[in-house]
Amino acid sequence: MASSASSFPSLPPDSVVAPCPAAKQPQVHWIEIELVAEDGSPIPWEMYTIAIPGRPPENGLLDEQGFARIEQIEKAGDCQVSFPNLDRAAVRFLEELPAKAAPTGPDGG
Amino acid sequence: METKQIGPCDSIAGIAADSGHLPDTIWNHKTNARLKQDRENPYVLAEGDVITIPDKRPPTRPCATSLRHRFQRKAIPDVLNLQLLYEGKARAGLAYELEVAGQKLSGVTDKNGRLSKPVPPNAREAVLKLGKTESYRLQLSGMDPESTETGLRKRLVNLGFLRSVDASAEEFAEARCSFLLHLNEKNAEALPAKLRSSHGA
Repeated sequence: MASSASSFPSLPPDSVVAPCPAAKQPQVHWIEIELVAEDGSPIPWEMYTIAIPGRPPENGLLDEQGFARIEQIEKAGDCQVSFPNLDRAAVRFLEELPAKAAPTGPDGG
Repeated sequence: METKQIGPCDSIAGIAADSGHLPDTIWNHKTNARLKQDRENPYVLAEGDVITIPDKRPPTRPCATSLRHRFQRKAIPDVLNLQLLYEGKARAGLAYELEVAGQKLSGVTDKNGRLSKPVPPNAREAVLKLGKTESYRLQLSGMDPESTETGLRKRLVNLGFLRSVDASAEEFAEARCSFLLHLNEKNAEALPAKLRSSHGA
């Protein structure tokens, strides 16, 4: 008993010693977009806008692989994806796919 | 809408790529109808031509979270088509290397001596290598309409009838005659159409 008491000298009774691994983490979501040419090669550095419910829109440039990923989205649902420097006739939606990027959060993908 | 004055190496494909449009959106726009009628070929514009670039209507699409959404930019890349002939006969099954926009592309010509490769819409030139001995520098843009003197001169140079684009007026007249004689054509007014046909554009 004496050795056990000396391990937690400063903690009051009922304190959490370590986070419980089974405890639920708040779920966060993500979205990825990708722009390719007709031959499948990436279209880099194109400007995009993603309107995410409940927070200001994200503006940015696709990376050199024609790719962008937005994380820490609190609510699952539809985001509005746009390419402001392109005309709608010049862009075609191809498909939905699983994540490309490695997950970085607890529910990162 | 904005207007753009055509420069020496501009094409509709290049302007469309830069402005975020599909080439057909610009070429078929009603304000460009006169230019389209005069020039016919969106790759053969005259320096100083004026083109209207319509306003963009950006694409917007609802996309669900926790998925990757893949989009395609249409009309990119452009395609370079070449046909290789020797004294009128197809150079079939010929290995080639094409250097364009910092890329080395290779292949073999088809039974008609043709090759087709994707290239950036704004590519200005390419180098075609055939075996170890033949090398050709290709200008992919800057051809003037055949209704202009520079358009006639450039085609005569490419077809081997004129020494250079800035050759003298006498050399130019001689080249025009040589070309018409070569085709057995006696009508001098047929020169632009015949040159366009022989040149391929």
